Amino acid sequence: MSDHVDDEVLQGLREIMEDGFTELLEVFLRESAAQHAQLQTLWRSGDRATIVGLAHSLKGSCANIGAKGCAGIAAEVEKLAHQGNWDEVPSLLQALDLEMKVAHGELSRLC
Amino acid sequence: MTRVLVAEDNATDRLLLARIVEREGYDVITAVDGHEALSRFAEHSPDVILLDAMMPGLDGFEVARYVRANSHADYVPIVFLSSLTGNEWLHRCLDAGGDDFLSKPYNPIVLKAKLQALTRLREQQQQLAVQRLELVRLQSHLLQEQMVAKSVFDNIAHTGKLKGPFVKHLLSPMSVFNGDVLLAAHDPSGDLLVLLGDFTGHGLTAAIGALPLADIFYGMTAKGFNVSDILRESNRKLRVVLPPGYFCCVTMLRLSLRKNTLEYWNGGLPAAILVRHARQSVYEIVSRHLPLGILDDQNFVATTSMVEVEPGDRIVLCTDGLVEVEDSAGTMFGHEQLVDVVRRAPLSMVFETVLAKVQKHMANQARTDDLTLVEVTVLDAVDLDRSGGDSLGISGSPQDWKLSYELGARSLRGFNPLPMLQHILMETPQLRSRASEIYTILAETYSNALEHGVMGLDSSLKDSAEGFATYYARRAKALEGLAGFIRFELSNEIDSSGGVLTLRVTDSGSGFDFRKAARESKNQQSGYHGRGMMLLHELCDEVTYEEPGNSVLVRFKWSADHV
Repeated sequence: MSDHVDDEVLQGLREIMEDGFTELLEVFLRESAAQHAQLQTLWRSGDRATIVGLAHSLKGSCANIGAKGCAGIAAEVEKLAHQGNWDEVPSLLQALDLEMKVAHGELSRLC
Repeated sequence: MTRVLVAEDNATDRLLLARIVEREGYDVITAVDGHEALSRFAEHSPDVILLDAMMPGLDGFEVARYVRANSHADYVPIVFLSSLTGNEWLHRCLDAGGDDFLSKPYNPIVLKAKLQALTRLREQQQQLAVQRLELVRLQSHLLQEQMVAKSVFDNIAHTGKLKGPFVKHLLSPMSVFNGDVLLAAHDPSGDLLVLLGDFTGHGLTAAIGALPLADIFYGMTAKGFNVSDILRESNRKLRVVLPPGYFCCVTMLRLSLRKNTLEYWNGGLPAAILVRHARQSVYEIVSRHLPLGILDDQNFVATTSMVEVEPGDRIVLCTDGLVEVEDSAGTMFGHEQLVDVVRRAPLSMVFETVLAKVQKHMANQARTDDLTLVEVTVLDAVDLDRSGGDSLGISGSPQDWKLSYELGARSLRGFNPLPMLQHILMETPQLRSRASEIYTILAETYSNALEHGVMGLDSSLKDSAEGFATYYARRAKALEGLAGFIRFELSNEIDSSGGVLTLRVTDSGSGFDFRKAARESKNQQSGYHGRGMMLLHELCDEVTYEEPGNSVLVRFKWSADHV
C-alpha cells in the first residue's frame, strides 16, 4: 500500500485495459513528464495564465491513473493559480517535482 | 451500433475513456481537440458525445454550441468531461447544451449508466422526431382531403336553386365541412323541394354521407319522384354508407306554388317555423320521425304531412347549432326565443332579424361553426315564372320518337320498369312539366296489365278490407310462378300546339270485358278497383281498349306553353 499510487485504482485499470494496461502507463509517464516540465518552464518564463489549465489537465490524468499524491498537489496549484495567489506556488512545484519522481518510479516498475 | 465521440486533449484520459466506452459495446471515435471534434462530428454523425470542457483552441463549450446549432432535428446528447467543480462551471456546461457531467477520476459503472440513459434519450428523441414528421404529414393529408371533400361537395350540393329568390340562407364557412347540408331544386312540375340536413360529425365523415344525399336529392327531384320516395331512398343509402352510430337529421319541404300547399317531413331537426303573413301567426313543423340512416327500409316511415300556404308566407329552418348558441354566461339562444323573434320580426326581414339577434346573443364569441339558417319564401306562381324555372334545352333532345319495350316473365317477377321508362320520357324536355301525370298513366296501365292481365287476379276482391289482404297475398304468390309478357309501345309526336304522347300496353293475358267494366265505372258501381280506370280517363285525352281486352291505347296531348 503506497501513499503515492492508489493500488485499487491500478487494479481497476488493469481490468479495464487488459492488454493495453502497459500502453496506458507508458502514455501517462510520457505525457505527465512533459506536462510537468512545461509547468516548470511556464513558471520560470512568467506565463502564469496558462498554468491553471495545465495544472487542471495534469490533475485529471493523475487522478485517473491513481497517482493520488501528484493529483492532490496539482489540484492545489490549480486552485492557488486560479485565485492569483502565487506566493506558495514555487514550493508546491518543488513538492510536485519530488512526488512525480516517486510516482513515476513506482509506475515504471509495473510496465 | 451506437457511436460515441470522445473529445479529450489529454492522451491518458482519452485512451482510458475510449477503452471504457469500447468495453461497453459502443463504436468509439476519438478527437484530440475541439476542431478535430467538429470534423469528426460532421464525418461520423455520432449518437453521443463525451466532451472535455477545457481543451486548447476550440474548447468544449464552443463545440457543444456548434453541435446544438447544427442538429435541430437529430438530437445528439452531450456529456461534459471535467474535474471542474462549482456551480459556475456546471451552469456553463448546461448553457452550452450539455445533458450530463462526468468527473475525473472516471468511474466505469457511472459512465455505463450515463451512456445507457443518454442512448435511450436519443432513441426517444428520434422516435419523437419521426412521429412529429408523421403527424405533420397526416395533418396536411387530412387538410387536403377536407379541401377535396369540400370542393367536391360544393360542386354537387350547391348547383341547385339556392341562388333563386325563394331561398335565403346562411351556412357556416365551410373551411372545414361542418356537417350541415342545404339542397334545393325544382321538380318537373315546378314545385320547389328543399332539404336541410345535419350530419353527426364533421369533416370527411359528414361529407361521405352528404355526397350520396345530394346526388339522390337532385337526381330524383329532377325525375319527378315524390318527397317520400326521395326520403326512403336517402335513408336506405345513408344506412349503407354511414358508419354505425352516424346519421343525418333532416327536414324536407315541397312547396307547390300552383296548389298553394306545403308538404313536409321532419326527422330530428329543430322545428321549422311557418310564418303566415296574413295573421302574422306561426305554425311549427316539429320532428315526428327518426333521422335518416337509422331505421331499415321496412321500419322507416316516409309519410309526409300537408299544410296550406299563401304567397308571402315564409318558412324558417335551422339546425341545432343555431338554437344552441350560447351567450357569455352559457345560456342557449333557445327555440322559444327563436319562435318569438320570428313572430315579432317584420315579415320582409325575418331572416335578417333572426341573424342579428343570434349574433347579438353570441356577443364576442367567435364560435360560428354550426350556424345554419334558411328562409324559404312562398312566392306567387306568377313570380315563379318571372324568376325563370329550369330552362328547357329543347335543341339536342329527343322530340319525335317511337319505342317498343317488352318484358318477359323473368323480368316481370322482380323488375320495376317504371322509373326507367319515366326517365326516357323525361329526356323530352316538354314532357318534364307533366312528369307526375305521365308517371301516373304509366303506373296504372302497367299494374293493370301485370295484375289482371298476366296474373289474372280478380280486382273485385279489393272491394272489402279482408279481400284487400287476400288480393295481395295471391298477388305475391302469383308473382312467383308468373308466366307471360308485357309490351310497352310509346311514341311522341310534335304538332303546332305541342304534341301527343301515345302509349299502348299489351299483356299476354286472355283479356277482359272492357265494355262491362266501362258501364260499371260510369254507374259508380265499383269501389277501389274502378278508380284506376277512371283516373286514366281523367288524365288522358283518349283511352281505348283493344280486342280481346288485353291491350290498352292511351293518348296524352300536351301543349308547348305548359311550363
